[in-house]
Amino acid sequence: MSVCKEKTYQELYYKYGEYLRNFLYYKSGDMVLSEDLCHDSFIKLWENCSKVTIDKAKSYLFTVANNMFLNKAKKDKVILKFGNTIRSKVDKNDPHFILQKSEFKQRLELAISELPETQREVFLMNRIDKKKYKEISEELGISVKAVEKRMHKALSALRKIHTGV
Amino acid sequence: MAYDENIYAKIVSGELSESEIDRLRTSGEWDEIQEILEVADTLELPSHNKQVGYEKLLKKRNDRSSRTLLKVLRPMVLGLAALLVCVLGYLFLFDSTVEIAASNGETANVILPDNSTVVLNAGSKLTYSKSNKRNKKRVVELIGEGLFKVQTGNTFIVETDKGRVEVLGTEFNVRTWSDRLEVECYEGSVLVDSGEESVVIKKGQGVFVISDGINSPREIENSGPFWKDGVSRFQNIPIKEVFSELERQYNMHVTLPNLNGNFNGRFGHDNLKVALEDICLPLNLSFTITEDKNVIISE
Repeated sequence: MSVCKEKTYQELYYKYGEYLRNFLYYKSGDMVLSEDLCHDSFIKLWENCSKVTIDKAKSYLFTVANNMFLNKAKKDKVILKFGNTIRSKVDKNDPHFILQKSEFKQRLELAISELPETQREVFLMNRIDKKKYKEISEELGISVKAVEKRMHKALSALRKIHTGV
Repeated sequence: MAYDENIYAKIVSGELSESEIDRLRTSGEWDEIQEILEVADTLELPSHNKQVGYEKLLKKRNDRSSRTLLKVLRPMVLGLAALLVCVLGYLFLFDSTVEIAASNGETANVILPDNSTVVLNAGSKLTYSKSNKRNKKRVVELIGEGLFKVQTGNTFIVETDKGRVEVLGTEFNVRTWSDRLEVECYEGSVLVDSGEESVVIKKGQGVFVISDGINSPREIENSGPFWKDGVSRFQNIPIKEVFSELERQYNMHVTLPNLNGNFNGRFGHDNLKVALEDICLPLNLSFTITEDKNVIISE
């Protein structure tokens, strides 16, 4: 199966397009830019479709996206924005509880934005995209151990919002 | 800490032994990490429409490949350019798109090239292609709300930013304000596609597409949209959305306090004061109409 086949190419986009966009968003905090770079990465895949086999396509896409981000868009400070629903199993009608939760959520969002980029992307790929460490390690081209290390560091930093340090 | 390396990461992957978990519980770390994970799991990003995204990708890809081609053929380009301009101009005349908008306070009637008709509600916009080629799908883009009467023929598609509606020949209303796509079918049947799932609704049924997916179709008693008879009707619609509709119908600005809750009821399009009373009385709100015809709502 060649990536040059339109159908295969489309399947790849349907499968990985959203993940790639999210990955770029975790890095840049800029949704418009992320969608742009995501498409640019897929175009690059198309231009090189005869050289990239289908089982290498995913890591190729993530590598290309990462390079594009580093070359074009790296910023020192990013602010990530998320949807503002509060979902919980606990009583939804308790206003005090909801207020507490939404305050906590705000602090968490800020703390996530302040994480180093490598920790932030691992944490959010795991929580939002529901990816296992193994999958993340393949996409980032690093070892599972390295993924665990970044995750551990991310959680240690985020834990500080409890103590307010 | 005497713990294992990367111990927090292992809470997530569930690789800890009983005694390690006990240790974390005693120190309070377990609960703190769990709460962070629980709240982090409620974070969400804007949804990703695969179909729309892919179409954009193809467009960009094609644009780019034609640009690279131009670079390669530069010596020939000048000669060809004049010819190209003529050909494109010709194509453009026969395949250009038309954009029709209904201003606030107005509705607009549109007759499409295939004789299908669309009535646009206030503040809405329709884009379609001038050409009416046989054997080609009919595609229009809608922002806002419109009533469609579609001539039988090839598949007729209404594209919106929240999903697409696909039909053969029928009468239906499409509404895309606020966060939802709302379709009511008055004749024939239509296919509503959110990009992830799709449902067919028949004459006398309506359906909502919200961010979570498509609600199951419900029965409707009206044989056409209320706005066609000069009335806006709402069932359990956020109050803010009700006032946005009022702004579109009367072409003015409403200043609102921060209001939560939903509204059930209706207002007419011919008298602003009566319309405001119809909305404000049941909600216990009061209103002022300013000199420049804008409205201020207070609790």
